[in-house]
Amino acid sequence: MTETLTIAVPSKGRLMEQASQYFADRGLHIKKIGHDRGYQGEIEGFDDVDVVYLSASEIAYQLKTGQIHMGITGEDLVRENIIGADQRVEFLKKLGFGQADVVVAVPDCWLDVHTTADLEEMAREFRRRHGRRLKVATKYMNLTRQFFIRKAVAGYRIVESLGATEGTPMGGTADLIVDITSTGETLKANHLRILEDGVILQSEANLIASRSAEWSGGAAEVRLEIMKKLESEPKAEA
Amino acid sequence: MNEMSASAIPDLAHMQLIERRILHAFTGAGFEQIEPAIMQPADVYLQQIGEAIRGRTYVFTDIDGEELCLRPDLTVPAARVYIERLQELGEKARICYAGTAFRYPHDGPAHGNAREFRQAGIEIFGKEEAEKAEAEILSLTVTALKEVGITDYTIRLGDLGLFYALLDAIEMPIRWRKRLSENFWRPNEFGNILRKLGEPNNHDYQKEIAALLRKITDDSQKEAESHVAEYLAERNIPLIGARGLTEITNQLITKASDLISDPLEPEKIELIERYLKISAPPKAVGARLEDLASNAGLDITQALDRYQNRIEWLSRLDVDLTHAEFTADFGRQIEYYTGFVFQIEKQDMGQEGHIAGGGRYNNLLKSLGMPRKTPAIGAAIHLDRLAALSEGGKLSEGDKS
Repeated sequence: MTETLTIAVPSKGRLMEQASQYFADRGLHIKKIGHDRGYQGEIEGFDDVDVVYLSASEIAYQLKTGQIHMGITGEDLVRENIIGADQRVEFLKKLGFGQADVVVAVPDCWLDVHTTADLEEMAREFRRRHGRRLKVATKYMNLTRQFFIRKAVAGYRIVESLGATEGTPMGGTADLIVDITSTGETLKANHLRILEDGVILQSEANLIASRSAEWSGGAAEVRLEIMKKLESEPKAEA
Repeated sequence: MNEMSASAIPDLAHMQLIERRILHAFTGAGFEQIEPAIMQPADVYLQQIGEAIRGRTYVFTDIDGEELCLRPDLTVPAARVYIERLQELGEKARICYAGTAFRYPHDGPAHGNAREFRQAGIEIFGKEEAEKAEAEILSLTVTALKEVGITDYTIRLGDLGLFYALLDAIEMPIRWRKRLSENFWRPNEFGNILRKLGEPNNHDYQKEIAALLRKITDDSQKEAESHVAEYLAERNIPLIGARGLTEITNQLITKASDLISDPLEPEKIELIERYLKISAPPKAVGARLEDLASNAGLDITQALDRYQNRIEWLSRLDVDLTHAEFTADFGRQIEYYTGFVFQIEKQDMGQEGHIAGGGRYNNLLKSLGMPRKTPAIGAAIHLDRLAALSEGGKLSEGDKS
């Protein structure tokens, strides 16, 4: 491998399939090198491009550090894991899949809470009555804090949740959640409701470039070639 | 960032000299020096300070799974020392300290922004004549600055007590007053609430909720609860989480009474807005406020007397107020201040020019575990900013008397 430019794609699931398909539709055929379960790949006809398969959150991290030049991952993960994201990476293209909203959701039975303003007002009563702040379960600590600062909500604290976040209010480990949702079905099943002004981010998969990667030595030119292909009209595969 | 920022690393000897002199001034005035812990239990601590600062706090877990943090300021750690050593220090205590605090910089750690900064501080805990203690804190801060050759600045004064007194004197439903006073420290939200209270039918509830609110308007608590329970049952919404039916219903009743209340009169809104715009030399403020209140037929004599008493104490302690400014809406940045607040500012230097500040915070000790509400007032001096200012100045070991 010559490795002039490294591009990372998600290593599993729908996101991997859709990313490969998106590229293939525009004449960029990504395939694995060696073992089918390996994590190295290439784009046919691009000798100087190295494809690496990484988890979506690892892609966000490596875009920040500049270990990879480009990557496909969700905007939510980039905004959560990279403080000052717009200064450190460049969002090149929305890819039209992997759509999910990051939202604030509260128990549906909180008939007195419909907006973030209601939430803050209630949080003060809650603290008086229960002697603690509201607990917000989330894996999006930074997005949550930034959003609540913007909305002037202060009466809460975060409990980090790395899975099954929607279940925490019913299970009693949190009072409300910040999480992603696409159809809203899981929220509903857990008797949660999105606040009227509670959409933090409408996320989808993006093609993103790192600003801190080494772009000299041909990587910038290769990027232009790839972008030219991606800007072309998609062709359905025969 | 310019050369005067905290990123300019001050000479170590210079820094130490400044710190020694300031501590010397504090201990000389009878304040006992303590050494608060650098690592703090994250939970107790952050419950007080909130997620906004938590976001900038270095939080970590030890091998036993306990969540700890590096202190983001020194007031809370100092207050915890006071509570732990209550027997020994006594209920009335005067303490001082110098140490490092840690915060993720606003613009990130790039560009040489410091993650750690040094502060020296004083606190008076326990019941004393409030205005005297406040004047002493400001006076000692001024003295300490003088010890390191800093005398040219503006003193900004504020008084949340005056604001609360004004709010108490204006007739309005208690819950509105509560909402306004609790949001004072967040100017934007405060403005929104005030504006909304002045609008008729200032709600935007969905139809179903609005109907429920109207239904419970004249209900007793019990009737209201059964209407709410009925509403939930009809829609198959189970009660989940820590909040019970009573709690939810109480909040709904509050909202229902807002729905039928007349809006807050424009004169009252204007009065609050006019108060918040006051900015004047401290000695002229009394008369200004008396006019404002008497024109509106309000009695805020007690709070004004306190204000005047403080001014008298300040002049008795020789604090020069020629370059001081009272600003009514000052004190809105930190959630825990409850009364007198001040800041010492170098002109035209922005944040870096705020070299010292402090105020009264009467609710903090109880929420940190004191058995009863205990008055507290304190001040902190930013040692790095001070060092940057006096760098290359005439300070030397020799000229210390």
